[in-house]
Amino acid sequence: MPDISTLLAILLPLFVTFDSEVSLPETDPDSVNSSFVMGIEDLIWQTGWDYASMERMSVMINTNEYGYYGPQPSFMLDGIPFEPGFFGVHYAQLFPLSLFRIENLEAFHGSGIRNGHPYQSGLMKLESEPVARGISLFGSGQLGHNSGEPGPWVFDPDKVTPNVERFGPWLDAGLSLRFGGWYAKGSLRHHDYLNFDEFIQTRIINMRGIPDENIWLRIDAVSTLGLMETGFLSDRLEIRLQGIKSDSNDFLFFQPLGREIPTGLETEQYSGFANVNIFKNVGIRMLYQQRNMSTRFRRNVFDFDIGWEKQQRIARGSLYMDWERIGLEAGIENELTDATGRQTVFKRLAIPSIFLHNRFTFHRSLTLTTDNIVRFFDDIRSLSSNTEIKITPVTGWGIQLSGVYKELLPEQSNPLENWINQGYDLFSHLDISAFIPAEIENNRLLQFSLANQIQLHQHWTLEMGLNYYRHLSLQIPFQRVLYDLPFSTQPGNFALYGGQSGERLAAVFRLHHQTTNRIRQTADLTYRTTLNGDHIYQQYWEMTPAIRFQYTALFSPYRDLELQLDVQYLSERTWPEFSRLDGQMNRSFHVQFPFKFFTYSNTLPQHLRIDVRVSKWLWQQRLRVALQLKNLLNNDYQTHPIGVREGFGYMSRLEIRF
Amino acid sequence: MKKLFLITLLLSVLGADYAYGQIAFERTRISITGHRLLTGNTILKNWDASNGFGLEISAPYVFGNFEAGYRYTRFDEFTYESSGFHSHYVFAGWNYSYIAADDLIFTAGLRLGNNFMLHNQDIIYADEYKFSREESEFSYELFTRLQLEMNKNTEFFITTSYNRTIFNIPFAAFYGTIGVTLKFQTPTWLKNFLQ
Repeated sequence: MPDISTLLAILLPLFVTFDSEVSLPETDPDSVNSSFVMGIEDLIWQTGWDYASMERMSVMINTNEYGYYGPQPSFMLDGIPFEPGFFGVHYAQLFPLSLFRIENLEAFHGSGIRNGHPYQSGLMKLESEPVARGISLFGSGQLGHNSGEPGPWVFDPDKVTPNVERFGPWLDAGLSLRFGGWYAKGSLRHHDYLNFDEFIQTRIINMRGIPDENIWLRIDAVSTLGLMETGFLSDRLEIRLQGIKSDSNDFLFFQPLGREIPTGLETEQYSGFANVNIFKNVGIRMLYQQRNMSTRFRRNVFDFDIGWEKQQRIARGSLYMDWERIGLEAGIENELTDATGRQTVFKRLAIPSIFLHNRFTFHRSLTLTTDNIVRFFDDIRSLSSNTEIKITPVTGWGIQLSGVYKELLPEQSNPLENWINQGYDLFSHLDISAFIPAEIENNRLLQFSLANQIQLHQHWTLEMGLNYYRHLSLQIPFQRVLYDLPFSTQPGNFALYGGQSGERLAAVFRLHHQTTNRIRQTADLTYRTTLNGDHIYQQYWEMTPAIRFQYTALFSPYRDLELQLDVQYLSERTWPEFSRLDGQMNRSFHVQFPFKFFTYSNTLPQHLRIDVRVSKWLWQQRLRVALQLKNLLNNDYQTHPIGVREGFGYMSRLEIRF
Repeated sequence: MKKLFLITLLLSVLGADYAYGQIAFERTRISITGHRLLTGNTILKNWDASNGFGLEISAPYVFGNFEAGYRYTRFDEFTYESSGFHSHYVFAGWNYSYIAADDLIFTAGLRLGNNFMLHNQDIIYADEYKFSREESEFSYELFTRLQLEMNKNTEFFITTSYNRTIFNIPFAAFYGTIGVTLKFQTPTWLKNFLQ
């Protein structure tokens, strides 16, 4: 339980103000255009985060603070948190709603508290389309291809090549009812993804095969997810009861192993959420959630079985007050986690926490916001404290000054390594030799930000931000992968480098233009650099691009037609974990027509990607067709050194709703 | 002079648009087509394309016209036994029409679609690798068309098009097409569907 010093630690920032978080990259609540959200990368595009993907269906995310292998962002749908992945890899098919039914997307950076939900490394807050009165139905089918298939030369041994990628079919359907304040909805998602990418298949074909038994593992990833939800919504009361269950046969990239493992993924989540307005501006929020996540053995040549089983129970309650000059939310949470799969000694993790959010508006041009979270584990505790000052010197000019001191327990920042230390016997089953410090330090980060928002003209807005990060102690997992000709990669020694420190600087420029609802365009330029730091620290950040430029233009000439142009430039990145593969051959010893091989590079060259999208409503907005032409320049770019090579492709979707 | 030219060009284009497509989906065009592959890339070394047929439907949008269609072509093998295939090109597109004279209309446009190919049979290499007889890939087409109005409801037209299916070895071909079009007021139910 909290002692006096802890309470002081929470309350002190109310009076003394010098810490807070990044603020510039928060996206507009309505910035997502659901008609053009075709995959998980389209959601990440909206957030200002980086992603690396093995096969386009799953991503690892860098929220700018902890890199691809650090704490990952939280996800929330209609006020209820969910976890769409395993070991820091997030899957599109594990999102509990059809992507085209996302009404709003808000991305929050750093740590903080939103709607009674404390988060530690960014938050993707999604809102689904409101349930319509009466009975509603929807369905959709999505299908895509990537270029380079053999075509009519299938009979010509000199010209054919293996087929390449096929997306889909992805089938989504749902039913909803709403009578008065009561509603109920259910949806089912079935995704079939046939990964025929030549670069990937050449690399993993030996892993999929059991030569003695002449068995070849299927290369498709099939996933089914169901959601049931009921609740009551009124001005004073919001109650949601939700159940989600999914089952997938997939390939899971496991960073300590340095490659993917064919794995079955199973998730279950049951949630109860209530938001009660006791008085006009005073209310309470309550959440209880039980989440079970496990992996299932899927045949592979090594007989690798992760055998992961995790059960989590989260109970949270908060009281909030929201007046014009003062806003306050104080809450308490308890998180219980069991990982029983390969645990040799039973140990349950219990992490209680308390949190406090404050907002003071001293004057219409001066607002102070603080977020403080304290977590406890045994006799250890961690404090995350943010403070932000918003100043509006003149109309049309806003300044935000913020600072953060953030401390994460190893149970949060490095959960896998922590479980291994607690006796979860996983690495020996995967033949991974590992060095993990017996005591993993708390992850500590200090951060200062300055952001400016200037209304240049009626329709033009310019935002500029500067973020300084000082990692006082960052724990970096590192697997220097070995090269192996038949299997391309073999795990080397895995190590968790503790106590890494260094400094980073990021500059963000954003120009936004909007005229009514017909034209909206945004250009984002982000520059990041490592100022100094330990050797491993510096290497770690080479995996993320120093320069990222994104441009999006949405044009809706008529209410039933939308056109969108997306342009992205990423500068060169280097993944030191794969340095031993650099220049080595990715080849297969199996029959190929014609024989084809690739060369690995742990440096991903800079690339420019251009996408075009069109959507058209039909039948009085009951039917919508959407088409995305991806990577028009047909550049073979990668986001991960052993991941898929992107070429030109397309994705199409048909939606129907009644 | 340059400005005058640009203004004249703009007005002529706008004039054509308003003359041909005043209100979205007001009129519907249904065309029956016959086509012939005129020339192409390396695919012609191994296959012989027969004359084919197709169906096109289009309707004016606020600017230009939307269209959708289907085209069938049979390719018989020269070299690889049983490698002949049926090509089914399904597309949607947009085009723009310019009224060149009282009864002569010039149209240019872009089509995006999928080329579904159905071979005579599957083929298996090394008793192990099965290549499906079903094959498909993204295919785009650029075309120009000359339309001659026979009367208020009928047109005759001739089209030349460049089609490219982006296989590993791209399949590119020029087609010549002739067709007859029936034009009519869009039924209310169809107009409601399209809007």
